[in-house]
Amino acid sequence: MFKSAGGSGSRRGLRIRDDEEDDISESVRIQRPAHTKRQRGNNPGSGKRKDLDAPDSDEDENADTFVLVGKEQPLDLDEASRKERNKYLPVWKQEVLDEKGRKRFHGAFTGGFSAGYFNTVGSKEGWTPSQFVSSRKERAKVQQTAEDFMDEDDVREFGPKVAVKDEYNQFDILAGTQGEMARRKALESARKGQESSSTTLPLNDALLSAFVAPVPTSSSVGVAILKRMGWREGQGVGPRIKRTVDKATSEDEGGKSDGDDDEHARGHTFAPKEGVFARLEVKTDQRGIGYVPETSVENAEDAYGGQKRKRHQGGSAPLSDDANGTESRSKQRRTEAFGVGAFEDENDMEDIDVYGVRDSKQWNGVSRKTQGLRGGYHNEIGNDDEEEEQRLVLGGRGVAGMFGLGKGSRPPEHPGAIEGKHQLGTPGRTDPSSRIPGFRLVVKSATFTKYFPPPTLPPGWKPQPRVFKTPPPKIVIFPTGYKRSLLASQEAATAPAPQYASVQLDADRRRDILGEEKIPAPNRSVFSAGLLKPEDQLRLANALEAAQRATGQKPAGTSAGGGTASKGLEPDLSLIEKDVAIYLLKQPLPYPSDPAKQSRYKRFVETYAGMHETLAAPPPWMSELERKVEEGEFVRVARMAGLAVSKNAAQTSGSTQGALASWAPLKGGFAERFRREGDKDAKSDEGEALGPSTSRKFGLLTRTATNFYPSRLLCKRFNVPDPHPEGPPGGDTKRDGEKEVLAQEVMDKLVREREDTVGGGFAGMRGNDSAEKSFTFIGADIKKQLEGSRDGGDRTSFEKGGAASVDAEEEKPIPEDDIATIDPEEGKLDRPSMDIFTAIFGDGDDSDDSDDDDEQPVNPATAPTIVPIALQVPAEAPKPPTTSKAVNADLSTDSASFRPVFTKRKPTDSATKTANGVVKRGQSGSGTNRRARIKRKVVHVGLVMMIGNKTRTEPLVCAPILAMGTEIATATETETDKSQARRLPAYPVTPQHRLLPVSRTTPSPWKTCTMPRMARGTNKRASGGTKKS
Amino acid sequence: MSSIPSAELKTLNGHTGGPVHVCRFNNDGNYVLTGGHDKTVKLWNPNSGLCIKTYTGHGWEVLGLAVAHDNARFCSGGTDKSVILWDIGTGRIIRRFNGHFRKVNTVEFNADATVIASGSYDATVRLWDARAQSKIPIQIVEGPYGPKDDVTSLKIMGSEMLVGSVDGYIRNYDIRAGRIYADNIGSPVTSVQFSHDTNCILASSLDGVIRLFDKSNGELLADFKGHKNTSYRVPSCLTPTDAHVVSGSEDGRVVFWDLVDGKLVRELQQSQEGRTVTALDVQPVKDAAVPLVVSGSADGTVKVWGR
Repeated sequence: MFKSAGGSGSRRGLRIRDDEEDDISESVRIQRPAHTKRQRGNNPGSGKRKDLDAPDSDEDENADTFVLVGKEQPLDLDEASRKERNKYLPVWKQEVLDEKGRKRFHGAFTGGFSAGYFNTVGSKEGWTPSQFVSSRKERAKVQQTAEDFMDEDDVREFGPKVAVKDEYNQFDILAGTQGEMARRKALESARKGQESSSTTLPLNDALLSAFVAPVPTSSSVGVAILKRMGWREGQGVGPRIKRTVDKATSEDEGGKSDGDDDEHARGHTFAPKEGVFARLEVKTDQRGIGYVPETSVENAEDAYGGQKRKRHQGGSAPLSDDANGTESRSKQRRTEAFGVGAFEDENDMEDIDVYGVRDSKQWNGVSRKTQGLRGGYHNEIGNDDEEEEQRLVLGGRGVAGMFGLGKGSRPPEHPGAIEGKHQLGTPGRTDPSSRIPGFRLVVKSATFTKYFPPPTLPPGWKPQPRVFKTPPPKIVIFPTGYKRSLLASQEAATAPAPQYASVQLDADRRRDILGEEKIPAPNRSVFSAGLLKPEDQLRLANALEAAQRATGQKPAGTSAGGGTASKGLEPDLSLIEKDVAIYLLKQPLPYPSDPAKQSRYKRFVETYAGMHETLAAPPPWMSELERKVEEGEFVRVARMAGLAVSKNAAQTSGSTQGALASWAPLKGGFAERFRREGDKDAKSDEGEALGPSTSRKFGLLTRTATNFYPSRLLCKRFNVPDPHPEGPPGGDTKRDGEKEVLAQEVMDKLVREREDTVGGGFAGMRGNDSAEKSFTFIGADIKKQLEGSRDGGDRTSFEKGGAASVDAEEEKPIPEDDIATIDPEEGKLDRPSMDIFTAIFGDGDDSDDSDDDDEQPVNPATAPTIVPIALQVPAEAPKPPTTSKAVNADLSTDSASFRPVFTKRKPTDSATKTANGVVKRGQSGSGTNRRARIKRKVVHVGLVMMIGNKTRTEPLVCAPILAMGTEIATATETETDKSQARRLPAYPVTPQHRLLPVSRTTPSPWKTCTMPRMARGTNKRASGGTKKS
Repeated sequence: MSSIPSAELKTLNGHTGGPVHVCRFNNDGNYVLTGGHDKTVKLWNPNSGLCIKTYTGHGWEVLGLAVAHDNARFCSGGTDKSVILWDIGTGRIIRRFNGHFRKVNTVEFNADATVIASGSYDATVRLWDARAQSKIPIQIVEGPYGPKDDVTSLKIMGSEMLVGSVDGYIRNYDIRAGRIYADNIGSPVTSVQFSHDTNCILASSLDGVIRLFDKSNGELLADFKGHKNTSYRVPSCLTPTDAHVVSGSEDGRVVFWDLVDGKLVRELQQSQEGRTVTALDVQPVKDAAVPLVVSGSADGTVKVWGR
């Protein structure tokens, strides 16, 4: 056997079969590598091996002795060129190579790595598939060109600039975008051509733009609507039509014949061809068509040049002369691509010289479109078979044609419609001298908007427009009391012709205006007679008077003023002396700003001066109360004046007149007192304007103190105790930040529900327990103490109580007032039946604890001892308590959400008793009694309670205790059966559990514990010490 | 007399486009925070006049500022109804409290900056927890316990919160005692201030009088006139030694009174006539010979007064 020597064979991928394989089959399909031949030559004595080898060449002298099987191989495959090598290789071994012999294709697994090193890729990774990178966001950035898809061969063959756009232009049957672009381009080139050879192409911009509407750069709403309706760009507007052939005109173009297409399209309808839009403007001047006088000087020259323009309008010059055509053609060429598009028609392909210069058929469409654009009015319209349907009618009414509607869509019965090509298309029929080809004489002149002269006025007519003069509304903002008086004053001022200021109208006033009688309905005022008893009214009036007197700082006088006023219209002449009244009348009257009130005051004083028998009837709008108030006010004013008069009289001991004369300086103060509300601001700079604080009488009168109920959290943040632990009045005990779950009422409700379902609660157990009376109900005790402390009581009692409650180990007699014992008659405190405890805390099997049996005898009566371990208080962040008030706050928190948590008792190994019996929990775990208790399945439900300290004012903070309790519970869980711990939450919560019994017969294992305090802030107590109380 | 500023030291130009609504010294008196109509809060060195930092984040003008006790944070309130707690060093917004229905006129920290009190035009005082993550107020002082009108000024001293309101009342919320002491001034209160000896209350009102009240019983101890204050929120302050009363004026002056005899002792023209002095603060340095006074005006300038 031989093996392939070296790497050459394997490098070429040849497989050489060795002798382990079937020799026969080897001989059939062997492809012998060249080197084996050499090998054989080098070792000629290989005998049989040689026989098995296939003959390699004709030169082999032994060739005829062998049957030639397989493919002829070259002498040396290395000598064969790489291109030829594939000839000798089976298909599955052949490689695709490029012209330089490089491998073209690399499989993901065959060539990946080496491809990067050896050829083609240029990167180390080679063809190794890289991680997918989404190009979604880069999509817009990628600008792919045709060159991206061309290798160098393609580039060499087709050149770097290959435009394939023409293909799209070809198969864009709607001739939409490309057509539009081509049209624009043609238009541009036409303009340029016209500029370059203006003599041969007598089109100017103005004329062109007169016929060619500007192509909209962006689609308008109308275009959008049209597109929604199915219209596409490049189509005309209108119903779909059948394409017909006009043989007569189709020969003219010669190149492309639509007949072929139309034969195929016979059974189809097509959208109408797009026409050229023209701006329809009524030509009202006498200037030439398309002439815009302001455009340029050249236009002006044209306008008067005559000859050019004549030729131009005559339309004899062909539109696309050769020069222009070649130019546009060459331009067109540049954008064309080679080849035949996929949509190219088979028949056309024969005609098209793909690589040659595009013939006229190819670009004729563009050219014709250009012509169509230009030929708005030219006679080419008629000659061109395509533009035949795109006639333009200027100044006439062939609107349908103008809009590019096809023949089929044109309403034939349109009265003004032109007869199409008969008139337009054949210039020979009409006299060219008299008529511009393509146009016809206007039958009916364009309508102009009529101008109607204004009617002539009758000779005696005088304009008498009615002038609505509304008086400027007097918007005066008054206090309500003043409003009516103001109204009354206005009424008095403008009594004959009341002003209709609607703002100030009320029902009474409206009634007055209308002259209606006052309805004898009860007065609207609540103080009116209908609602109040007469004696009450009288009392009210008196009180009012007294109040006014007090606020007005009047000397205390008789309260007869109110009574007088209430007497009705009879004046009580004792109120104001007559001479004073007379003098007052001579003085400037108050209320200068309120004439009505002033007049009433005058009338009032006049009554007391004896001029009238009775007081004036109050105005109808004035209620009884208002009248009384006003009269009281008048009396005060007059009295004050009278007081001054009498004082002055006493001083001067002269006559009244003299006294009155000396009263004059009071005028200022007098006027000051009766100031209008609006005048207030002017006087406010003195700082004595408003309210009770006009003078420096601050203090008791201006201060009001009410309770403020800060939220608990706010108190905490401000480091102050809750000043109102009971909460704001009104029964809403819920405060901000309080957790509803722990609220008292919620707990009560839960407990009640539970009680209903469980039933007896502790009752069953109590029946068994002979030592029930010794149960200490710490909960009740705490509650009691809390209430005591909240009321400002001494905390000592609580501490004592708490201490005594927990003190179970000492077996010391505990004062009766500190321990709430079970009242047997009080049915509330029932123990649940034993089953519950077993169900919850009981261990399923005793075997694991059986070795501890001898530790302690189990007293069945005291077995389910419940020892309070944790009293759960709402988890609040501990804060440094500052004063004894803080204690109260914390305690109140406890009572509000007092909830016991039952955990298995944490075994403790040490319990020390403090002086007064306060026992604190130790944190240490392993107790001597532990296993015995576990064995007995006595689960101690514990209550860690807040333990006060007599010697210091700070309370113990609840949170550390809680944390400790949690720790204890956790420790218990780990030490004992987990299932018990898991069952813990299922313990029924009954009201009795809130008052936790402590069996005093069972020695408490608790030892003095260290109370770690969450030292924060200025807490001076070091943590970890044993507390003394 | 000698312990009050007499000359302009610096002019802090930086607020543009409107009045400076508030300026506050920090607690050691070395820096000044100003908030203005340009929605920014600026931190200044009043001695050099350098604008150290600009805090942007308010959507509208800044009306109230307060600096925390550790000078590391400050809070601001503005017309955008939000109260923002800032980190002074980084300028980042630590927390933004939204809840007021109208613009926030004034903000204040409590002593250890755990609570932010904000007084607003919606006639409420909201107390925000600066420590918790929740952005709901701890308590909203409103209704029967709260002011009846726009809260213009608010100060916290210890466990007392002083609220001046447009309803003409100064309300002193004693949180420790759980009491509200409401003093009727009778005129809209524009500025309230505790005296540094904690026994008095200084209150400006729109009747143009600054009054000094006894905090315990609400009796008037002194009143100060001579400035003009009829329609704007003109601030008033006490010097750190409580020797003088400083107030702005609507005619552009900064007016100093002697506290005891109530005499007007100095006037400094901050801005031109008719430009209200809208912001004022006195350097809270007790042992300084002359405490600096910073006043901001409606024309957007801030001036530092000293000797």
